[in-house]
Amino acid sequence: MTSAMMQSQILVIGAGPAGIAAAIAADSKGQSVILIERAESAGGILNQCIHDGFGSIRFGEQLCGPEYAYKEIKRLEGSSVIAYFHTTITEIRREEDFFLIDAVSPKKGTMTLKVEAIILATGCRERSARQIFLQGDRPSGVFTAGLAQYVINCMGYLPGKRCVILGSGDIGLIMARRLTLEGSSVLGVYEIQNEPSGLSRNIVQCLNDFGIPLHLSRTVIELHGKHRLESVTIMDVDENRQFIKGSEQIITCDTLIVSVGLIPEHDMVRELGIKYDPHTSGPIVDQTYMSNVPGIFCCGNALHVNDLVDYVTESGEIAGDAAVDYLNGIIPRKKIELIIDQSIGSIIPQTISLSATKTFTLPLFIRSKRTMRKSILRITNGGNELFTKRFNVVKPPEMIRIDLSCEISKVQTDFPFLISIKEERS
Amino acid sequence: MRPIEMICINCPLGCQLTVSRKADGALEVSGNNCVRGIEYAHTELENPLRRVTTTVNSGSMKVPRVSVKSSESVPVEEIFLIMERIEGFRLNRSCKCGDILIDHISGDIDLIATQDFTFSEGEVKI
Amino acid sequence: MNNRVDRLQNTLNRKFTTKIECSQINDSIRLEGDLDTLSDWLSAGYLAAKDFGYKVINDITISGVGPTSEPRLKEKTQRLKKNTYDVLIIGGGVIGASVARELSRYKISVCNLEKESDVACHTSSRNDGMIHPGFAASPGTLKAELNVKGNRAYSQICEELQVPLSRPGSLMLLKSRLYLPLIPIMLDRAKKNGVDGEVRFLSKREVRRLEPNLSDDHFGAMNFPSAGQLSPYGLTIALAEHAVQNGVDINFNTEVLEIQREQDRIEAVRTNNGMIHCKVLINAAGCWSDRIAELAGDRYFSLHFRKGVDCILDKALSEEQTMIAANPILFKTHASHSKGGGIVPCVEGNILIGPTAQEIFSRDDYATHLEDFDALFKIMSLNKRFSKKDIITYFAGIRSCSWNEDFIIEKSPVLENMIHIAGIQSPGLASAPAIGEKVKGIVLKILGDVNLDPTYSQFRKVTPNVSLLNHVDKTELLFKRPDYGNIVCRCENISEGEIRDVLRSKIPPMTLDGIKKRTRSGSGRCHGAFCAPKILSIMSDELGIPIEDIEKNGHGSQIVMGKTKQGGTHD
Repeated sequence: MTSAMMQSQILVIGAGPAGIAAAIAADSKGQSVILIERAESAGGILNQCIHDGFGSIRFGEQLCGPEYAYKEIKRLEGSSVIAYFHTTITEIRREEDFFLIDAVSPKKGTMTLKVEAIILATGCRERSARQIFLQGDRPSGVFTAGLAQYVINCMGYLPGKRCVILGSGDIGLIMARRLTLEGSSVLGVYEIQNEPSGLSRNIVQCLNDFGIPLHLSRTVIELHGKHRLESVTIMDVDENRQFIKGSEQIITCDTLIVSVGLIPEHDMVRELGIKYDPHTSGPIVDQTYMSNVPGIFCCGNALHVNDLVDYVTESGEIAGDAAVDYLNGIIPRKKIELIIDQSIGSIIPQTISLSATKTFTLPLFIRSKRTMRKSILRITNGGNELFTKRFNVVKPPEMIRIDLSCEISKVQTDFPFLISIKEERS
Repeated sequence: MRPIEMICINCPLGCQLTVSRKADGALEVSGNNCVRGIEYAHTELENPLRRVTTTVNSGSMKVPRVSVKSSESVPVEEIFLIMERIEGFRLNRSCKCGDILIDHISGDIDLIATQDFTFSEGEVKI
Repeated sequence: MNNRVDRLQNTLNRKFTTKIECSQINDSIRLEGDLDTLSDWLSAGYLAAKDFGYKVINDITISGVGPTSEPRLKEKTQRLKKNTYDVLIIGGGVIGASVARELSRYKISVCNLEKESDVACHTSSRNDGMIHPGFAASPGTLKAELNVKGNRAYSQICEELQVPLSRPGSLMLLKSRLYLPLIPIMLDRAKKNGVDGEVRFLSKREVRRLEPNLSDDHFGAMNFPSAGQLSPYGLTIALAEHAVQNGVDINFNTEVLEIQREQDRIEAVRTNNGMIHCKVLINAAGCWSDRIAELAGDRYFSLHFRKGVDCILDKALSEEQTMIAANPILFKTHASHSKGGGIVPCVEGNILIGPTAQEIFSRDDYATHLEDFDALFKIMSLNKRFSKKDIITYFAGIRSCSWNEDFIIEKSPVLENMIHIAGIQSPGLASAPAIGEKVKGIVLKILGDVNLDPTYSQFRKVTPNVSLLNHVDKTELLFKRPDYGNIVCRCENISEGEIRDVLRSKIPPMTLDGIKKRTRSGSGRCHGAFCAPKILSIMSDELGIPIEDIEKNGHGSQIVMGKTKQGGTHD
């Protein structure tokens, strides 16, 4: 019995929207690309996101998750990318100027790949009930929103009959509607912050349409039930997120759906020395989406959590193109740091590498830290203003995308770019 | 009438609309970033419409559910009606993304598959 | 003799404003009355046990309430495997399993009864897995004797059972200069207890060289090289599987309702699943062992319960500390009988912090509270690299304690064929092999002429651990069993094949927690959000039960509640 040994220039890990886009982009520039996916088919998390609202930027229409995936998969099938499904990477080793990857699959058994560049498109995972320090008992009936989504949409089972939803993230809101349509009663959505963390339109069409109450500054603190969940204790918090004594209330329910955030996932490259950004929880990258480890690129939700799949696809294309440039030996010369102030939650990329070109245009993805009305976004460099844009309103759940164009001759390369958003005094 | 605040759900921007009726009876919409906001305000006031997205029983063990949508948006109060009509439906065949699975599920509206599905007899459980 | 009871009564009268009655029953003292607080309740019990040397039955209520939580009486769930055995063991924890395995070497019939649906459901799965060196207990106690013997025995047992065991050694950090003069006394105690390995004092500099990430807030440490760590439930399952492999029966979901006596002899046990006759009855019921004694009409001790909360850190930190480190409370008060908790690098690669110690008035209250974390964060601060955000999960366990804080392992003072094993708190896991050995001795004495079983097999049969195989072996295995190539749990890299293996094992798990304990699937940072659906499907397929009937841990803890409105396909 021998193990399969394969070689290509680029390995893309994950065949969700980011990975598909990255693989196609690199393939279209003539590179040999292997795409590895642990599920049995492509599409990633889109396959369980059966609701609509995907692709308004990329396709100009409101698609369901599987429809968006379908369009992208058709493109993949038209490319010469070699895709291995139902295949799991077990180890990645960095050698002199290439990587060795071990993988297993039920069809092919063990296999080893030798590649020159890796694009991580591994998506994200959900923050769990334990990670937000939910206390009390540990009964069954506690689901992350994504797990509940899979159980309902892909398996056809109901997580429970009387549900409380913790966190107003988009998946939580969408699950409130799904559970209601499938016959569960959703007692309410509880959000520790004083503003919802999901998109406004999901509040309208997932909660308001069905009369599901949204409680802000109110959170679940303890679970009760030795075996199946029987009730939860909820409590109010003040503006500093401190619990307000005496506000405890017990709600009888059999299910808690937890929708409290997503975290980029890249467990498999943890040992390769990648530097992470505490704001995004993803790798620190330049505008090519290459990490500090040469040859390792990252895109999609593995880079930072996006709210639009259109941006995920775009980031895959950027990483795919850039990986080809990297293999062609286009090496950036100098790095400029992008520094965010207190008004901003996160930014992608975190650095800009200047190359030989005279001008550059690149998309910046910025998440504000709080809701601000009539505000102005500013990018400065050594005291010079490079960019300004005014916004009616910026909200943390709605990512800001801007195109930054600069003439390199005007940039003071010894100074970082400073980015801030300020509310304008009227 | 007093101005009504609403959020346009056409795209993820979620524009905060202010809708009021002018003296001549026409609606005045502000806060929208595009024309779809105006359209939305009109239908939302008269007859709110929503797209139904759900799944149907595929009849297969391996892929138990097939995702579907209503071909057009439907009045909000019809959502549960459509859900009821889907109850008990079993696909028991292969389909392509975009195929009509149940025609005229409500008026002129069909139920459309939003994914490809390959049915194989061997996987049916009785 | 009566003088002693009178003195105790007088002391109780002086100490408490309400009347506490004490009455002597053989060598035990029974306390009755009502007190306001748990701490008074504890003081009364300790007073009788420690200052007056009695075995204590503490029946004092607190504001009119007795200890909470009654066992839930079960319906008949299954047919018993047989109705007559030589030895019947009540309790499928690490102690019951260890005793069963020891007895499986002999030509006797042995049966284990467990009220839960799996072994290791309570204390045995809810502790830090530490194999203590045997220093903490005072010389001359059962704890000290059995801990050292147990620690020594683990190297061979873990090889026979194929259970991973690490011996990272422990550092007992001395947080005050005042402790330094005690070093010779500590070395002397280690010697008296017979602690293995070269126990010695390490200077602050030596500690820093060994563990550079530990906080510098100490004056050196005592080092115990024999301190070890293993998975407590992994061990319990392996002990039980090995026992079953050698002919022991286990009846799960079987709860003892009545114990039938003929004068001073146990005749039979009535369970929800029927009657079982036995020649020897062993009470290894953990937190319920005083209740079992009561059912046998032999309640000459009672227990109190100490909850401990542990938290587990992400595997990514496994390199940040290799040795067990603790910051012990050397000067104990009545209120604190724990060793103060520590940082324990686990054999699976996670770091465990804990346990805390809190007396509670319940046998099975495993709820955690935010307040528990103050103590855990304090322990965590012993290592500069660890922070709150590294915590991936936390859990509580309950240690059942006798009133003199030592183990009770003996033939009943009145019943000729009943053995009680009670108050097995820390270092119970470390002592388990020696407890098994000791109880075996008592059983053989009661049964008389018993021969070794020549068919006894020394090694537990195990299935491959795919992640430990080299590339060639793995390639060959996957060719034969493609399901080892279908990775189901992405956090811990567990394949479908490994899950099917445990479902076909000697003790097939019937619950999701049972799968988790055997394979670690679902114990990574995603907590089963990705793998739970896949595991449910595999369980449903392998066990032939519908997905909606699969439970997390028994007792109606179903994962899903039926099908969606339009119905699933599994109908």
